[in-house]
Amino acid sequence: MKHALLLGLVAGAHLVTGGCTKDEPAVASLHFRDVTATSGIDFSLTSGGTPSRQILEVKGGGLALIDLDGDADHDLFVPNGATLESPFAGPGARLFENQGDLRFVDATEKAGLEFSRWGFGCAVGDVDGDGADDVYVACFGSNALLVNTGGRLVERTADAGVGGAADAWSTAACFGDIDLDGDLDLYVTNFLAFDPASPPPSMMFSGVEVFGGPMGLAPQADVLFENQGDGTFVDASLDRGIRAAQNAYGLGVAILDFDLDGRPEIFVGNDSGANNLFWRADDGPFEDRGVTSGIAMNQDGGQQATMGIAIGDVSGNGHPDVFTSNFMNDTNTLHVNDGGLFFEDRTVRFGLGIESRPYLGWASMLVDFDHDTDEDLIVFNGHVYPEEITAEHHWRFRQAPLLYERDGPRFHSATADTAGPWLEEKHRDRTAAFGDLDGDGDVDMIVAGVNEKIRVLENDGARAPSLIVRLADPNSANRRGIGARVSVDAGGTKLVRWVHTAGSYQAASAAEAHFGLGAHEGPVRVEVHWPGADRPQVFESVGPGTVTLTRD
Amino acid sequence: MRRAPFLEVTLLWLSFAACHRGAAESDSPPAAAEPDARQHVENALPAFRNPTGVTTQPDPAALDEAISHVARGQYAAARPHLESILDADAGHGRATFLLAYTHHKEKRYARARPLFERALEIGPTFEKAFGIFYMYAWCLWYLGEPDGAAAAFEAALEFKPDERDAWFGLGLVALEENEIDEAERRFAKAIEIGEQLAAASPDDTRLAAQLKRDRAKAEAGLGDVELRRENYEAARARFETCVSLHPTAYEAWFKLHRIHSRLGDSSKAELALRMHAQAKRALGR
Repeated sequence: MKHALLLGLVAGAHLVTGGCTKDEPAVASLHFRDVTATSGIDFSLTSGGTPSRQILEVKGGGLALIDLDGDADHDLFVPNGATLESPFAGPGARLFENQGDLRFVDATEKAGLEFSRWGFGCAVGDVDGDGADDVYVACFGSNALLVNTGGRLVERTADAGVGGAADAWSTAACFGDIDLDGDLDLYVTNFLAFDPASPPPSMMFSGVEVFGGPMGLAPQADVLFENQGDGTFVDASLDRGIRAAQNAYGLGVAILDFDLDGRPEIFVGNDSGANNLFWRADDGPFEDRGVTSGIAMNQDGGQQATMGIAIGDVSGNGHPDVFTSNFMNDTNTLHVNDGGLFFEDRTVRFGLGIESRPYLGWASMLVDFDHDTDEDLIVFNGHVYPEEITAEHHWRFRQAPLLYERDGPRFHSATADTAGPWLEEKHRDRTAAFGDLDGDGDVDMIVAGVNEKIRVLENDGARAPSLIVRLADPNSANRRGIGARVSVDAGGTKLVRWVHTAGSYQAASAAEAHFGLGAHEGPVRVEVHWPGADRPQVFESVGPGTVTLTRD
Repeated sequence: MRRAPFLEVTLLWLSFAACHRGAAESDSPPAAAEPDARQHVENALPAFRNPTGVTTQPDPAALDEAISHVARGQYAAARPHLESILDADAGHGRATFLLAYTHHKEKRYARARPLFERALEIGPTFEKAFGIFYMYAWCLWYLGEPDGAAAAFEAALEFKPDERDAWFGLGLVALEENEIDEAERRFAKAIEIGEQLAAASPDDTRLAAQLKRDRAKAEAGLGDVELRRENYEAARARFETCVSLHPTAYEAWFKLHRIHSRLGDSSKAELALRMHAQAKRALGR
């Protein structure tokens, strides 16, 4: 066991134990306000045309929080999409620099950002161990690695060997130290073979003619890139057993130690098919334990759409549970992790089932938004089919988010009356990134829909103190400790979170563990289970506030 | 509820639709602006409770044509006939109901919903029109509105207290609302009604087959109750009963797979998983 090592509060963070300082509810609550108009982010994500004509136009794309300039706040990277008419040259990515107080400026030029492919999911991680965040973009066509060189994002895809196949449609990516050698490897989910010049024929959904896919189209194999320690990668999909899995319509991925055996597993969410959970013993190849673990399907053995992925400790047993969002006429699903790689669908038990049936869910996240110590849940929604079709059949084209407050053993829906008018505004949302954007200790959200303006939602309801843990591992290329499990003992209440950037939908959120501390005041005891470490490192008397904890 | 296609509403209510109607125009008051589902039910109930003074609606030949299509599962083919009736008489209750039914059966619940509500507004214009409540309940269920579904199921039971599938639906609502004991009571009630019906008509083989399948559904419901209580052995017994009655209940097979896995019986878990896959193949899923 190690001694406490509190490096200190990060500039900009402040304690939130005092009274209200904002013009907001006097009582702590689950409440957000839309601050897009004053945020400096005035940008619409391009994703094909409107109305959407093909499946390529309706699946993304992503957002990423990245500290590009090393000032310890979250800047925003927007890969942006393209159109069917020009699928390999869109209007271009954007970088918005965080100036504090929820104000951003367009720093695309300053960042030297010249990227205009059709971008979907993003992953953020330090691929070369230089201490700076890099970003990987899953694309239609070759993917891109943009390496942070002194605050400029320079494409190094070819040098790093992570472009993937030119005819692939990659949807999501995630960094994690798969082989526990101290650097960040990369998993890329691929969706399906699609040729804009020769789109698939239409198909029937609920008796309605709609654009084709994914069913009937050829799924593509995912790729696992192994970091060679110098920021270059090799395709290890075959050697590591990934290729042995059946090709699937991959939409999301999370790399985490799900069974707490010290080695990371890879969860892959697949559209219209069984999800994968790649597990391995020792250094052998991965085996897909999706079905036997119970996470491949819902409790009825139904294969779902699995768009969004949210990870948290819903059951409170210290194991990562997995929430996934799904298509309409289906429910979202909560797989509770009982340990030993055994998951059980407890959606209904936790009150997350039936209400979601009319919704088509995407970005999802479990976060203690109101700082009452348990994790709440947000799901952003929006339909895929054109409004002309959805209107005729009374399906909801634009859809409001679903916000659930955890209250004892169940989740309960929040309403706009209490959570703010943003909650009843309808959009065609897809992606969302989560992090403390303004350094006030709570988690804010940035959301983007298909061909819609990006929105910035400020958490202005949390009042209780919080702890945000950032990790630093100076002896490893995995500088931020991606994959670490962080436990907090807040006056007898034990809370567990994970440091990862995965989940949501095609987004990279802040690589930090956030804890609401509820009624607990003062510092807490923190245990960090670093990736690959045999024992946790203990930090006594930490926080509250935002802290960086360094590995011995 | 978790989706359970074998639990889906069956053609049971075609018996309602195929019956002779006593025809009527609703004398119920106009609905309030944008009532919720429960209000729709409450607004409609008085007319169904006291269907006096109703007038017989004409029964166009197109209706027989539509019913014939519906009975064969040809919902798209049925709709033009129903729409032609409604073009001529927008207040035709049975055509409205059947049009809703065709959308419901093709899982376009949101499109079916206002038609069911309109049929409720029109009132009891055909024999056993109270069956609209039952179908409306399932529609609301699939639209994610358990409260409205409960109100409509209860209304259906007011007119047909031995409607076991409505009790089953109420059991699902109770599970959703975390009322585990109440869910158990409702599923058990569905079984009890089925047993009474079987005893009353021991020679009715068609009814027996229907009752067998419904019993399987209710057993699965009771299995879910035991799962919620984490009584895995009891749950296993319920699901085994379910699949013995209804071997293509793939959801139950999958739950058995999970239970056997949890209880450490890997060979039974594997077998259940194979049976799950086989059942799905048999159903073309």
